Formats: sequence, structure tokens, C-alpha cells
Amino acid sequence: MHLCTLSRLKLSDQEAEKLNTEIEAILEYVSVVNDIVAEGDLTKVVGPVYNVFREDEVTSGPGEYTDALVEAFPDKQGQHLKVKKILNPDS
Amino acid sequence: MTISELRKKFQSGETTPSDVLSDSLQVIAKRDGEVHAYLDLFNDAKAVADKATLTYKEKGEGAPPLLGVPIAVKNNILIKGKRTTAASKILENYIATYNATIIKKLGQAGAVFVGSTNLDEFAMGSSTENSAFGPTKNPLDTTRVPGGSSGGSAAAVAMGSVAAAIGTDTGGSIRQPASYCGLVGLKPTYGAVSRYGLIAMGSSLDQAGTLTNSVADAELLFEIMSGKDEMDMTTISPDTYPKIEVKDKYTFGIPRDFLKDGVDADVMKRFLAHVESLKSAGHEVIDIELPLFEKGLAAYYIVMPAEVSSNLARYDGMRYGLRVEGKDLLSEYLNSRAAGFGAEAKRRILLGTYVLSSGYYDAYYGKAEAVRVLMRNELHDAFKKVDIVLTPTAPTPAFKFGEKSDPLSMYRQDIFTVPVNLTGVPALSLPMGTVEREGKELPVGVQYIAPHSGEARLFDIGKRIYDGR
Repeated sequence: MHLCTLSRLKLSDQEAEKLNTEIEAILEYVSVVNDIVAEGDLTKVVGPVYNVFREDEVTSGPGEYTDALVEAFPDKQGQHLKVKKILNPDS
Repeated sequence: MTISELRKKFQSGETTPSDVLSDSLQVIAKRDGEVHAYLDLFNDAKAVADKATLTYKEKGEGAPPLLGVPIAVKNNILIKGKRTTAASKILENYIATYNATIIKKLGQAGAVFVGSTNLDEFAMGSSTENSAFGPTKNPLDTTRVPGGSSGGSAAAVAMGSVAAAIGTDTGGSIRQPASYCGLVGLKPTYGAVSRYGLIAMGSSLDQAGTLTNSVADAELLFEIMSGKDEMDMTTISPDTYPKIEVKDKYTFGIPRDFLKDGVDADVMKRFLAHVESLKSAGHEVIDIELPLFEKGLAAYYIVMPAEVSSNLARYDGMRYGLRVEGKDLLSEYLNSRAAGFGAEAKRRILLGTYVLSSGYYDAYYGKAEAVRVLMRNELHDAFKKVDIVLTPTAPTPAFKFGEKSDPLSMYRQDIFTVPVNLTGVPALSLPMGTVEREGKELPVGVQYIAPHSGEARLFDIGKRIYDGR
């Protein structure tokens, strides 16, 4: 189940089997979009998309949210967020 | 109870915000053990209501428009200092660190936030059965679902505990529960109301809106909540879309082919009776064709899971939320998300990851986005002929718990509501009477769809048809 790793989800065999069947049924259902839009038409379609900017400036006071955010850490040491080793995890 | 009725009573001194809050808490104490509309009640509500009571004594008619009005808020909207769970185990103990823009605006207008309401996990579902904290029951028949995903908000209003509730609507999550619970449900134009502080599900589809007992109340709340917000770059200005005028007599369009299959016979009968009542009120009703709308649900179940898989990627157990130990970083991600997400969330994350993956992107996501643009054009053309498009809100009345166990049959509940989110237009669900099931009268709703930024038109006709009934 490469898809599970891509999705960052660990599934039991039972769960995986059930979801596999359901997802196949859903994919079959949604494939009607292929009847509407031909392969070559894709590039012609551009939605009403444009950029929206605002000034890049600091809007909060120093440390205004720090305590609340630190409080939400699942694991911490002082004011530092604690996570598993990322580099050379085996050493 | 409506907001406007409460407002008059507050101003005349017939009742006070403190008394209304205490009535509200009594209703909750009496009924919510069974209904389970609420996830948390806010203990600071009393102080806010008491202060409002004093302000009415001092200011009377000069008081802010929502002063003292009890309101419930769907628990995927951030209220600073309150637990905001999205009805998911992964955010079970998450405390919001800031207010959503709509909360700030409603608070400034004087609203008393009574509590947070239940929903399908991350707003994904049409029955509230997907909540990690147990389902909400329909207060009108507790063997049936209240609809979803804003089922807790709908039940909170329908059982009479609050005058109004705030919900979010990504594919029908306000309108369908409004239909099942006999309420007025508003999904505004995409961008009309700021999404800042909403827990994102499908970012190009999500809109916050209202569940109320009258159209006038929906209008009042919309006026307070809407407007450009620099924290949400997708919010629109009054001049983004052409002005949609209010008329004396409207032309309604019915996509007759779209309604051919799958609509319950009793619901159809109510719908046709509603059409007759529009005609006898002097409006014109014609048939229109919206062939792509029938395919909308398919496009929705590509676009929405794609956005869900992206938005839910942030819940990885690192900075906040549930973390489940593992031997290394990757296994902590895998374990945390396995334990934190429910079945529907997992289904949509996998589906979304699939349709976005290399090699499948063009076949699914690219095409679905193209269908969306074509649907928008199709609707635009329809609005050259008609002022309002009319459909039932949902194909059936409220169904029983466990009745829709197959995902696709659950998804089909949203067939009339998802095209509205895909195209970004506003829609209003109004009660259109009841249908009988097992000796009980169950409400069903009619959906009015207007062009972009056409809320004023929806309120105008809605008030005439529903409030003035």
C-alpha cells in the first residue's frame, strides 16, 4: 500500500481491504468527468484566478502567542518542541 | 424564537439576556443528554449575558444588533481559549489561540456564545454520524439523523436552545441539516464571508453561514459576518461581481432533468406544491437545462478529497494535537494519524492523495477543475434567463441512523447542494412543508440558488415566501 505511505496513514489489513473496495467504487463513480472533458481540452480552461497581496508586516506583539502555542506542544523541553531525531536516526 | 423577536423583548424590557441564557441552558439540560447537539458549553456566557442585560438598561435601542442573543458555534470555528476539535480525536484537546474573523465580528455585535456544536469529523459527512464524540440526534425525531455536517448547529436551533447557530458548508453542510431540521440555512457566495479561523476542509469550497428560524435573521447575521478580510485573500468586495437587483416578480428556473431520478416521491410532491405557490404569488416558473449539474457530484468527489488530503496533511502529531509514539519520525506520523482520524477522514485522505498523485492528476483533478469551470459557464447562461434556480435541498427527509452505510449512498444526499459550492454561488434552504414517515411529520427544504453576490435577492424573496407566510 504505497498510497498509505504517501498519505502518512498506517492501516490495519482489515481497514485497508475495506477502504480499497470503497475507493475503487468511488473512483469508478467519479470517472464520469472523463465523458465531459476530453484530454486535449484541459489547457484551455483557466478559472478566475489572480494574485492577492498584502503588506508583509508583523501584526502581533512579541511573544503574544508563544505561551499558548508552547502549551499545545505534544512534547517539549522548556520552550522547545521535542520531536524524534531526523538526521542519522539509526546512530 | 427569532433574533428579531428577542431583540424587541430585550428593548422593551419584557425579558433580559440573562433570563434568555438561563432558559437556553435549561433546554440544553433537559434535551441535550439525548440529542447531543453540543460538544462544550461555555462557562463565560453568563458574564457576557449579564453585561448585556445591564447595557440594555442603559442604552436600550442603541445597543449593538446582536446584543444578548444566544448563538451556538460549530466546533470547527476557532474561538480563542476554547477547545476546537473539529469532532476529531486528533484535535481532542486543542485550544484555539485566536478568534476566527466571524467570531470577532459576531462578538463585537454583542452575541452570547453559548457553546460549541457537534459535526461530522472535519465537516466530512451528511449525518453527524462521523463525529469522534458520538452522533447528534434530530430533535424532531431522535431515531433519525439531523443531517450534516453542521448537524449539531441545526439541532441546537431546532430544539430551541439558541436563536441561531453558525455552521460551515463545503458541499451542503448547512443547507441539508437545515432541510432535515426545518430551519433556514444560508450558504453565502464563496468569498463573501471570511474563512480566517475556520478549520479548513476544501479551501475552494468552504463557506461559513447560518442556521436560523427566519430569513430576516439569516440576513442580519450575514450583514454582520460578511465583508473583505485581509486575513483571507479570497474574500470579495461589493464590486467583484455585477450587482444583482431585487425585483417585484421573479423568474424561477427548474432543472427538470436533474430532478428526474432519485428524488423521494413525497419530497417531489412538496416541491411541486411549492412551485405552485410561487406561481400563485405571481412569479414565473420555467424549465431549464443544467446537464452538467448532474455530473457535479462526481467532480466534487475529486476536488474535495484532493483539498482534504492537502489540508489534513498538517495534522501530523508534531506541533499540536494527538501524538502517538513510534520508533522514528515517520512511524510517529503514521501512528498519530492512524489513531487520530476516523474512517471517513481516512477514506477521503487516501482518495485525495490518489487523485493528486503523479500520473493520475490530469485524469482526475485536472478534469474535475475543468468541469467546474464549464459548470460555472452553464449556470451563468441559465441566469440570463432566470433570476433564481430552484431544487429540493436534499432528495429525502432525514434518514435513520446507520441507514446510509455505503459511502456513495451517503454522498448522494448532497447531489443538489454540491454544484452550488463548485460554482461558488449563494444558496438558501427554506422549509417547504413536511412529509410523513412512520406517523411523524418530517420537514423538507427547498433550495433557492442565486447568481454570485445575489444574497440580497435570496433574502428578498425568502422573506416574502417564508417569513411572511
